[in-house]
Amino acid sequence: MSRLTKIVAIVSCAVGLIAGAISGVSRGREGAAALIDAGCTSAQNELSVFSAVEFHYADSDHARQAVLSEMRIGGILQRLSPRMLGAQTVYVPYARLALIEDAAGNTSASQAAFAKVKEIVREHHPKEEVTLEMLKQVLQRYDDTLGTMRF
Amino acid sequence: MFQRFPIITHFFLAVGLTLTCFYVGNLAGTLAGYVYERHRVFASLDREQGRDIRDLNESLLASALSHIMTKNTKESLQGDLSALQKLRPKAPLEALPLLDLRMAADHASLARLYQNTNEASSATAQREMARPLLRGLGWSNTSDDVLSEVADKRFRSPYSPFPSKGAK
Repeated sequence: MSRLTKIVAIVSCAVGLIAGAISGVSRGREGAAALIDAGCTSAQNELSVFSAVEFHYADSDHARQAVLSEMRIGGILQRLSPRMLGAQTVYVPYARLALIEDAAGNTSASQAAFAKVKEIVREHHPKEEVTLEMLKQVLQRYDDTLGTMRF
Repeated sequence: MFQRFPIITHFFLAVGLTLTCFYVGNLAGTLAGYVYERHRVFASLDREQGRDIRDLNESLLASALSHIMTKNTKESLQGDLSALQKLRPKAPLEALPLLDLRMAADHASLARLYQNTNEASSATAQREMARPLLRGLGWSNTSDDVLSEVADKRFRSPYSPFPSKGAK
């Protein structure tokens, strides 16, 4: 093998490897981010559906447990994939919790959750006044129209 | 060959090696980028929390995929049930209630399908399997009417590939 052939081989390999690695790294990172987003969205959706079902059918202890679990895990998922969560995914669990606590007669816990809902709604609609009755209607519509009451 | 046509042979050698090495480098880069990004994202959580969330994501994604692929037929629902039963022992604690609800909905749907084909004893058996799962989830009412409502919603699910079939 001549010296020229060796040089051509080495340079070609180096150029190919470097160009391939540069294009591959960005593709791999995009792929990982998309997979993480898909996993988080799916998990958040499943937890939200479960909370909605428990809210309508289960006793207050189990419904509360489902909502608290949705909030806790939803908070972690939001850190992993901040762009996937909309405002409604943040306030809906608090709205459910406010209604569960209200039905269970835990006034202070209900008011605390309700205050959190008001705070979140005020960020997006500063002039909107929210009542518990409105929350019930909004949640019913949310569950009916978005198909969250699915099994 | 190299001595007779030096320019042409070296050109083809260079192109061949560049393309081959580009392919290998691209594969290695993709893998490295994937591992780096996952590590970077999960580094915001502590080790145990990261593992829990990964396990939860995997279990819920597997159960959602199985649900999406399930047709409203007895065989397909039985297949979904056995997939969920296999998934259950490996799933983290927080995923168990969700899997139980899905299994109960499958049993309720099977009960409806058996009912439609006049197999009353099989339908009753499926309802009896659904009830303890739902009671474990805090449902105080697990009457036939409620199970029928669950089956209706399961058949009408927008995520089912054949939402109308079996919803009689």
